[in-house]
Amino acid sequence: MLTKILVVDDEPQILRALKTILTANQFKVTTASTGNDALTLAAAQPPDVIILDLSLPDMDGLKVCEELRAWTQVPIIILSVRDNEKEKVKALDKGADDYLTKPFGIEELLARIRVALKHASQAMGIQQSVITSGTLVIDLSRHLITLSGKEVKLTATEYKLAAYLASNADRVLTHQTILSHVWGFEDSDHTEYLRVFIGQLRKKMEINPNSPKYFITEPGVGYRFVTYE
Amino acid sequence: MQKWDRSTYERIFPFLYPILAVSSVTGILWFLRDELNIQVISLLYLLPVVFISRIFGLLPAILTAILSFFCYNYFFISPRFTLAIRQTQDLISLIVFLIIAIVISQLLNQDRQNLMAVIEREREVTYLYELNIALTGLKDGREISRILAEKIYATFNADRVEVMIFQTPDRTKKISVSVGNETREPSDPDFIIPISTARGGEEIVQIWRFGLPFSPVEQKMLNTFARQGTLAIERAYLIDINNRTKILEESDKLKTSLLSSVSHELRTPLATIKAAVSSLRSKTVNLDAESRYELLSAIEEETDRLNHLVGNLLDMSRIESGVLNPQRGWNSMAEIVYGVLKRMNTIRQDYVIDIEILDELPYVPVDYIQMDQVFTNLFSNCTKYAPKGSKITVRIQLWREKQMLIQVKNQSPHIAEDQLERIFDKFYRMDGFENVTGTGLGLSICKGIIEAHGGKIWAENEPDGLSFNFSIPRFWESSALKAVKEEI
Repeated sequence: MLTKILVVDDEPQILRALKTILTANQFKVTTASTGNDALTLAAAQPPDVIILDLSLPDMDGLKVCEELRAWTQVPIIILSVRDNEKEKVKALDKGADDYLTKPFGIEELLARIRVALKHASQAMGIQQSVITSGTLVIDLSRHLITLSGKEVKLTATEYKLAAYLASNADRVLTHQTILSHVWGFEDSDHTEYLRVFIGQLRKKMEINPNSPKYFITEPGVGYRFVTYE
Repeated sequence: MQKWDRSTYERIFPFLYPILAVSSVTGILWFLRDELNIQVISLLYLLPVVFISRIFGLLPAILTAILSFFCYNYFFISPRFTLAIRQTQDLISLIVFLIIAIVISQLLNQDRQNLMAVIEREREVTYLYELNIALTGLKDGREISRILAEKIYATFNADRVEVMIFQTPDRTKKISVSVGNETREPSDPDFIIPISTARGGEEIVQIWRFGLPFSPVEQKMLNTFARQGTLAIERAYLIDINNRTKILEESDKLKTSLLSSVSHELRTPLATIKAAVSSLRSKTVNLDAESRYELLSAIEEETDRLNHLVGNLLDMSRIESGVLNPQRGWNSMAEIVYGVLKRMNTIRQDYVIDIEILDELPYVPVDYIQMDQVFTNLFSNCTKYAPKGSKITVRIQLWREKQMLIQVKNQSPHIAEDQLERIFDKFYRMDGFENVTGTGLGLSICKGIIEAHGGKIWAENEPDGLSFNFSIPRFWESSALKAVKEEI
């Protein structure tokens, strides 16, 4: 069965291009150009992934996101323009899974869709217990992290942070999400904590901490643990 | 002894001298009485009248004349030690003496008053001149008020001066400046000058000077002073309006030149994309795999270029309208540089990149995306002017106190010293590089962003090329890094 994708954008040219490209990549694509259409379509033919533009003519993309989250856990990928970090963060905190900044390459979009689908299926099934990225192996069941076969020694908090990022591999996580999961802070006043700890993780696990490969900064939004073959 | 202050003292003072003068003259004449005849004595008695009249004015002089008259009569005209007069001759001489003394003192006094008036006028002119010099070229209402208050304070020996300026009729825009201390209990000012300005505002000058009331001359002068203040403020306002008009004109010119430069910059990549796409779609043109790949890369690169251009335009309009508020967060400058280099494929392919960054470089409070834009613009600038295959060096180091210095050095041709600053101007394109594409926005955006971060950017000619340097403050108010404790 083909994976169903709902694309919501008010630009007909974007819809046209995405429909063509995604169909060619073996997805079944439906499109909507307003928020209301999107909500109706999502209910009538539940899709496996929703690609949602934040600026819609009839309602705020954030609102669409919120209403969808009221009844479905379908992965939502947000499309937005540069310099709209606050909107992105809001959407992510309202339950969106990931975001892409326009203009984007199609490889990026396909990668985001794959990650979103993978996490959706994991949410229902069993969590992957060993996450591998390049020479970095994070074994969640044994609490063990190795880099090129050598054990990486981490403090308790560092491990908690690394494990949380790795178990959400390739997904963007907002500062707030990470802070509340790892530290239990309910406000985002402690972003500096996070920055310091990410710095420590990079020092211990990255080949060049200045040019990180695994623990990537998403400017103004949060962090992403990236996996490689 | 509140009553015995300056004014009482100054009023009584001139009348002490006639007594002193007449008694000393009388003393001396008494000592010489046998050597001198009566006519000489009467002549010598005129001396104090002349001097007192010269120095203290009419009334003290008349007092001197009368005192001299009595002393002359009492001590020198026989019978001595009485005010009685025996000889008619003596009586005439005494009366003549009194008349001469009074006439002299009157004449001298008139002369003295004329002189004083001239001096006073000269002083007034000097003070006004000084005030005008001080007010010249000032454009700020507060500064003008301060100078006015200080000048009044110094010129009139005031104890306290307060200048209030309401710039609009509804009294919403108010400037208030005071000079001098308020050691005594609050009291009403000794003199108030209210002046309405041409635009319906009001200027009020209040002056306190304890114990010495202002003379009419001083009051007139105070009025003139205050009026100079209003004039200066009006002038500042007119200059301000004039400047605004100029800015509007400039920004109009800017828009026109922006439009022409932008439409050119937008069309160039569009032309490439259109050409590439139409040939890819064409059924008549047969393209081999390599050419197809080439065309497709061209399309991708040109779209990136368009995107970068739009980013620059957005930033420019933000800088122009003053809303470029950096979203400061603690970021690693190194990470930003590497991130930009990772994204800019062409620069990594065409240039040798040398990065000199300390391992333990502290984080700095900057806007990640704006800094990304700065490096993108600087690197794309390098690719325009530096020959392919040359070296680009990025050096980041701590600098001075609480600053970070970032250098991007390339091997492009030197720039004339007088143009080193101008390259950061909007739309500035260097002569001799007309064939280099660009809007002339990149460096001016860098400047705008760096300055919004409280830093500075400048270019320098190096022995083997050109370097762009910028500084970024390492700390920003309200961004003190919270101490982070390791949790066990």
